[in-house]
Amino acid sequence: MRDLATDGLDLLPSDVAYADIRVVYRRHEGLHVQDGRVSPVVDSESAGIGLRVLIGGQWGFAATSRTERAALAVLVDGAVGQARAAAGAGGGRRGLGDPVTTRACWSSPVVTDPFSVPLGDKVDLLLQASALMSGGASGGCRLTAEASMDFFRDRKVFANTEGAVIEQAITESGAGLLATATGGGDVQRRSYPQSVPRAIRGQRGDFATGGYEHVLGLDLLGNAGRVGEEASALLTAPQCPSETTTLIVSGTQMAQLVHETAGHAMEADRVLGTEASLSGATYATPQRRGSFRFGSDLVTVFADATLSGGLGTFGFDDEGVPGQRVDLVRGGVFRGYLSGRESAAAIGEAPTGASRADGWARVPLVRMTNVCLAPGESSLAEMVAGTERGVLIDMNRTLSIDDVRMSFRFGAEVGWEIRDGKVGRMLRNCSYSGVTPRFWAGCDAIGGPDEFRLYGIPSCNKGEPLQVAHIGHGTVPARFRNVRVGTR
Amino acid sequence: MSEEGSGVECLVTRHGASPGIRLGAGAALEPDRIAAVVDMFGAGTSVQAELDRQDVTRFGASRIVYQHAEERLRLRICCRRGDREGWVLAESLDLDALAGLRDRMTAALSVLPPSGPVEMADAGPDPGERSSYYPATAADSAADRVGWFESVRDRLGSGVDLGGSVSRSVSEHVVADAGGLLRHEGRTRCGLMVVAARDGVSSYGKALHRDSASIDPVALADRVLADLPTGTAQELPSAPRVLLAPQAVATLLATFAQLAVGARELSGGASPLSDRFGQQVLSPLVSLHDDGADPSGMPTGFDCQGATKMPVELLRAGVPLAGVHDRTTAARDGVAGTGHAVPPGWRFGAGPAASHLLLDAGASADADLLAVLGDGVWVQRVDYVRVLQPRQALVTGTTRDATRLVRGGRVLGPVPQFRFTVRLDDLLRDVIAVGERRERSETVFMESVVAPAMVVRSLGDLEPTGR
Repeated sequence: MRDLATDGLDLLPSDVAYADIRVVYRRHEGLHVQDGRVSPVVDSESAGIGLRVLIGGQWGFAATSRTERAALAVLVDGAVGQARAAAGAGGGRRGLGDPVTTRACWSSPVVTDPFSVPLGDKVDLLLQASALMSGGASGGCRLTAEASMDFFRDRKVFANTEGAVIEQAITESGAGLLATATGGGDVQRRSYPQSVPRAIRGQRGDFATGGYEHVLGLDLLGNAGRVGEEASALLTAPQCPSETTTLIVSGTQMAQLVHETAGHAMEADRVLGTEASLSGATYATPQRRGSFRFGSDLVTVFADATLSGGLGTFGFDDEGVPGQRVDLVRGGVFRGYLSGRESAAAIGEAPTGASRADGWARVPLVRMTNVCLAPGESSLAEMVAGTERGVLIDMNRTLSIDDVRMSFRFGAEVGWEIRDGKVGRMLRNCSYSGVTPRFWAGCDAIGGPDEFRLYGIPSCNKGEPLQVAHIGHGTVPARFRNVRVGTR
Repeated sequence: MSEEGSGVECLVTRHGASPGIRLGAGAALEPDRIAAVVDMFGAGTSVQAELDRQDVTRFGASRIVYQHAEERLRLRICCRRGDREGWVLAESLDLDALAGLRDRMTAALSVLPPSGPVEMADAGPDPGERSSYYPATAADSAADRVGWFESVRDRLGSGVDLGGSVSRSVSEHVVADAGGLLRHEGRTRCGLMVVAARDGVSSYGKALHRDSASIDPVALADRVLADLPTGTAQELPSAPRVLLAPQAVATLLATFAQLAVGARELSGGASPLSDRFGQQVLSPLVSLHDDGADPSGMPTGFDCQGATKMPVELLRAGVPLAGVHDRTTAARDGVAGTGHAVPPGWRFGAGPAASHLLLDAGASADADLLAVLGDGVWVQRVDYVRVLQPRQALVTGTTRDATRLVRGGRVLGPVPQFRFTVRLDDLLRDVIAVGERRERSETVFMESVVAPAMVVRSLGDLEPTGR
């Protein structure tokens, strides 16, 4: 792989101002069980080369699933031809900042290689979990019990014309449960340990860079019965009342909230207007940096690609920039960006190592790493005890946010009413809406370090063609005052 | 060929001009090579193969942001060993490499418990010739895409920021199985998205066709510019009637169909149309079909199971009549398949799913729709529409780009973007008028949606976005 990368760069013509090449191999194993029946096993291999060139201020990019040496010349022709074709289109000017010359290797730590664990053992665990979920059905409802595991291994080589050559191997493991209850003209669901907002089959649950030890640590069997019971119970639970009230957001729900309102908003390419027609723009403009009040003084949000086990953890991004930590919000004030080399140069700062591509066939874009809500000093129990009337919600079910990341509405799988400092009845169809800075301004309590938990989500979409990123979110529960909640 | 051979020599159908695309200097996707893969994996095997070349030129802030060219071979090989099934996903036709994957899958399946037999309905009749492949699109170059960008930018003129993309794909699809099925089709796709922005407001347009020669970038630029809001900013009225432009209707309709017309959702009680067939559920002005042969959409001969895309009348005058099937749900329900399977591991559910929606046009010209609306809001595009409650078809989303006040049938200035939360069955029940002009669109989960504009009584609960 390394030779293929460096050989590709050797073929570049002299008018190429900059180029990088990535050779990527990915293996994916997907296991899914539904109602005690094993779904078709998925065993996937993908390998290819992506070459990006900069000529006369214009990018060209070509990628192919051919990995033999003969493909390199075709690849170079394709990328170079593109860049030259755009040479007369104007607007060409790209700064990339300081050169990246790193030569390094990096691997994510793995205790137990998930691909070496016998398939029968993995499937047995899922079948047991599925059976336990099914056993939680009640009230004559129809319950669909799904359990899944997915494992990924990426081996990739990055090289550029500035002298960098970086090899990385990243192993990711994850698993999850989903119980869907149908009855009485309604459909309800519960997930564990994390949800995805769409009906993605498999690739659900919580993921980490790591091995099979992560799956075992999730304690699927210890939670499966509860998941089935709660899904069934939701069908007859009272509707969430529509009111403006106090909202306590669980850690799982917080992951999506941080993702949408802070993570995407602070991607530097949005600032430059280059994503305005597709992903959108942002409220977090450079003019507002350092002064825009994102939330209350308690709120600090950071991105950290070095957290152990995070799904957004890596040694180097896909431009060769080291993974690092950057504050996005500190003390409630918007402070920083996730950026790649080009976007960082455009706003006059060093890149924060957040440029990543979905496999070999996509150009690197600014993507989240592990975007985290910093722990505070409270706890979930303390927040509930200090709430006279409110709603506690858990696990994202759906989300929608506008193209500048201001107006949002999130739906949760489950809620519980809070009365006089105690958790009361289960509520169904809970959703809440807000406008980002007003919502976060109402944050008056954040869980402490003991409640900090890192979640991994392998389904963040961006770009054209679509790119799916694997990212992490470290969260704690938090409380918000004066939030509009309800069924609609 | 082995005794259990694929039998692909009894060629069922081969239609559409073969694009003959090549992976660089490599080989094209020839049916014989797929037959060899089927043969190697043995009895019970089916193969879905795609050879795809995608090119995209993306622009923002009136300059080219990046360009993309991708050539990819995708093989999805379904292996059956007794009552066990697995999918090998690979990107090579190298038989030695595939043999390793076959052996790994065979070993994996040997330790799994049986999952019971999988019944599949017939793949249906020969789809015949469909307008899925156009040489003009296949021949498009990077210079052509840059030329479109420049044409649109120049047409919009200075002072208008241009964003959007030109995208082109050419692909070849083969589905074959060990029972003798072989389907082979070339497909092209060309898309142009234009977003024009000036003084804090914007306007959107999209053109989509299998034939790039059928897209006029200047005409699209003119239309987008004509709809770019001008005049004084207006206040959003409370509970307005809404005129949804065709692209907005397409997004909402696709979301509704995704929830409502799949056979699994219908039979499982999860669809908002479950148990409501034959009833007047939506407005009599709503007649909805799914038809992969209709050239108004993006014609396609067959789905990823090789089943012919059959026309399905989903709703006639607001009355639900049928859902869409893949070969598995069709066999389960004892009906003919409709060609609506989705690939394994599809990001949007297990399917089957609608793929080529067509909403019947109405009788109203654009000016008539404004007159019917009277006082209300004109919504060009809706964005980030997501489902809050599937059974109730309750969704939330926001308006985006041109959103304008209409008073007395006259378009006035822009109103602030807003969030809406609405039951789609309510929205489609209270339709006041439907336009005569339809536009072609698509979503990430639907190959094509053809829809006219419509005037609706309400877009549900509205909240300002606060931007």
